[in-house]
Amino acid sequence: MLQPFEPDVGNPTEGRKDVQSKKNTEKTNFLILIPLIFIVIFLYYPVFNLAKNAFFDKNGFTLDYFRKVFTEPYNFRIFTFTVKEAFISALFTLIIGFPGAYIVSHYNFPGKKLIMSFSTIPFVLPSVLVSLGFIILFGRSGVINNFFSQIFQKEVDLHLIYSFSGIILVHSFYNFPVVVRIIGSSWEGISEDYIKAAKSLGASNLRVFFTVTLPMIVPSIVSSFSLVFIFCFLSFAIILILGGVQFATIEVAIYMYYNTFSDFRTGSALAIIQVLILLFFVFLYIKAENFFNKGFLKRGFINYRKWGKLSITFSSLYLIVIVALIFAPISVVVVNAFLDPYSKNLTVNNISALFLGKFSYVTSISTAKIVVNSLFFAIATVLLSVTLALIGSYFIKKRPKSKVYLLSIFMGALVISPLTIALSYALTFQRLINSEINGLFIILSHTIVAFPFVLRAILPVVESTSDTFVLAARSLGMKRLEAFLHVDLNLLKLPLISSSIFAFAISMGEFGATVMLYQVKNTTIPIALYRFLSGRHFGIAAAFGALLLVISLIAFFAIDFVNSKTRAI
Amino acid sequence: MRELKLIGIVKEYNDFLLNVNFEVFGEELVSILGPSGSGKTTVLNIIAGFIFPDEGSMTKDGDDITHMPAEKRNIGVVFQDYALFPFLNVYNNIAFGLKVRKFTSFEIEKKIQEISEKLEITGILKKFQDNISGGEKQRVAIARALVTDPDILLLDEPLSNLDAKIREKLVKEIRNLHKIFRKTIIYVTHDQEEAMFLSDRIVVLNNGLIEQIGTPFEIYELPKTLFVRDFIGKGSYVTIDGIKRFVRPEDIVIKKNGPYEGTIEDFVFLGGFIELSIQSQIGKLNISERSKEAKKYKIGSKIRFAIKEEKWQ
Repeated sequence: MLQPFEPDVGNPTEGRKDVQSKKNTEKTNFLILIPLIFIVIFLYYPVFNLAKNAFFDKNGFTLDYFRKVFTEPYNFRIFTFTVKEAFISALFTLIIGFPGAYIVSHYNFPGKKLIMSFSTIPFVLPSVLVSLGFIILFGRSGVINNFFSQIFQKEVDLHLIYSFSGIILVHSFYNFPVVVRIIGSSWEGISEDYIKAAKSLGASNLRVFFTVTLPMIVPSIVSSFSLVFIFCFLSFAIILILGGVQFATIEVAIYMYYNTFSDFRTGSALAIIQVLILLFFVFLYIKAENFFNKGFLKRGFINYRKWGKLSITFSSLYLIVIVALIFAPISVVVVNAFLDPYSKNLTVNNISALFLGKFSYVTSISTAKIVVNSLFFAIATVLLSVTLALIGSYFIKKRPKSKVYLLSIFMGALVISPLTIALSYALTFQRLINSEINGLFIILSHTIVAFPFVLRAILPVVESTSDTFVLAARSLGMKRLEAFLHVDLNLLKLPLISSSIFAFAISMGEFGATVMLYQVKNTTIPIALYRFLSGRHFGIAAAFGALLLVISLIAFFAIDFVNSKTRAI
Repeated sequence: MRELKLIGIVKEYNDFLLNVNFEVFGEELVSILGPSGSGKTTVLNIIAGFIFPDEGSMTKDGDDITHMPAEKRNIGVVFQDYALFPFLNVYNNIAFGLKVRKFTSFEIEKKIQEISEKLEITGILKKFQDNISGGEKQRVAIARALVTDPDILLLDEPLSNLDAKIREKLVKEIRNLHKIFRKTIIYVTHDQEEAMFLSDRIVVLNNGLIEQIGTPFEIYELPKTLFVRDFIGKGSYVTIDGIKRFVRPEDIVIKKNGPYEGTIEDFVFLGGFIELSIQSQIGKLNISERSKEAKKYKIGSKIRFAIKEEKWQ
């Protein structure tokens, strides 16, 4: 979709900068600065302030806090654990996803579209909800352990989740769709001609794979690996809930420093170090992705392979496991919402307790208020992030030469973790956060988290949308501003809707920043869920989880519906 | 009258300068012809009002329109890629400009009915642009531009995305449309054959400057500059009596007693014609001959020929 900028003077859209009269250009220039101003005030300024807190205390400049980060043995463990956990998670995810990428890029089968759609489910699920699902499934008295206990007639604990392998398992569940999609689409895109050419030159199948196919999908492997690495590196809720005391990522440590030790300066130093590590991996990801986008010939028509005995057995087995893996944690949440947590008998107590507020001593506010909070924050986040991303996309499109710089500024939020954003807010806007407008800062932090993703969805469409549509509208007598409403917005309708839903899902599930910033009256569903989980109220947690699941699944089906429409056009 | 005058129009880009001066008379079809990068699209964008010139002025029927925004000019444009709105069907695409002009839905329906009959697109009014052919898209784009009754119609390389057979048909259609609608049309193209076939007059543009303005006959037979001579039609340079001259293939006749002799180096079959590449004492040249005569010629054999001398320039 991305079209390279052509400075050719014969280009039909040349000189677009001059399309508007001088007076108009100045007007739009101001408007177009809004995303930049927003990002500076609500991301870079607080983070700058956070850095100031890490480097300066009441005695002036100091490196004590960085020294503290590196000298405390506990912190060393956190660093090594975070890197190790992210690396092994990414590697394992790659191994699980790779066969899937091969299957979807080489074979066609009934239900393929459906399975591909299902694979996005983990992505829209809030991490707190997924953690709940895995606890019910693999926890100490979870489904699997109970099953084996019954068989062996004694107490069995396989230590499947409150352990290192448990964390890897959950991370892989979360991220394998990324691998399947990125590598799959790159593999599918390799022109058959390369392979035919290699074979005509006498290369064997194995040789073709290693000398032709593999080099062409390497960028997509690097790109998906670094993306999964980044996600796992930033893992917070999953580690907090499933990791226990012995496992903590940098993200968890930042939370601990602020919340438990009230040592925000060392926490800030840690956050700065985290940003630097992330910068490196984001750089790697962008490099790989750019290479991948430059692309080889894209196949217009794909010749899928014919099924053989071996391939059909292997693929069905793989797909069954994958589908089970996707649905097991979700379905146990729903089932447990209707089960008594101890006797495992069918009951509606959980659901009624949820809505009658029987457990509101845990959350201090009613369930209805919590749901309203979550919906309100999510809708506000959608409006804010989509508007900013839309204006930002036009800003970038108008200045193709400064695209790299603008994009780095806008994408900065990718290397600044939700916890870092929240900590920097806590340090910068403390008084406001503790005031009546606490909710605004929850919305702002969600918007900053969602913004890069929304921008990535909208920008390519804005860039690739031909300017001639607007020129055509104007030659037919329509003013530029009207043309924006009637033409631009219509052309961008589908990416706008799908990125809105995505922003909605991000906000609905956001936990890290919210848990740092929220006042009790602004409790969201994931926060409440976490409270119930920490209190080991699994029944009501499952009921709450089911509620969150229903909202998330509605979002998922909406995205899927819009995506299917997008492909049609 | 629907006349357009471009007076001393200048537009500068980093490495490109456009400087043009010409006028288009009422109901005339004028082509702006030039290679890619010659600035023809810039001229079209200036006329349409998509960009404004750095210097100079432009008038339509005597009124200054130099800084008038595009939406007020009443100049219709058919774009190279047609720019049919993908979110509207054919009917609503054509209705777009009428709705902007606040016609009632009854009037809109009547006008669309009328224009789609003339352009023979009544059958596809409910379809979307992905479901119609390239030729149909072009007709819809023309209908959309014409239905608002613009003073001038601009066509930006409207045939460049189509294959040869359809091009030939549509170029005839455009000529017919010009006859039916009697619009002032400015046709931008890099294809000299299209320009020759369609135009009342041709503006030959090169490197941002006008090389020549004239009827197709004048442009072909009386080129004023070397560029025009080379760009339009085919031809070869020969040296006779120490002077370099330019000859068109059809001005060379194969004659037994012709004054020049050459060797056939190659010949290609081009359907109705063959083209002979000759190496002779006056230089390398190409000669066109009817295919029926093909058997007479062999590579390596010698022939004698003459040049219609009155054509020498």
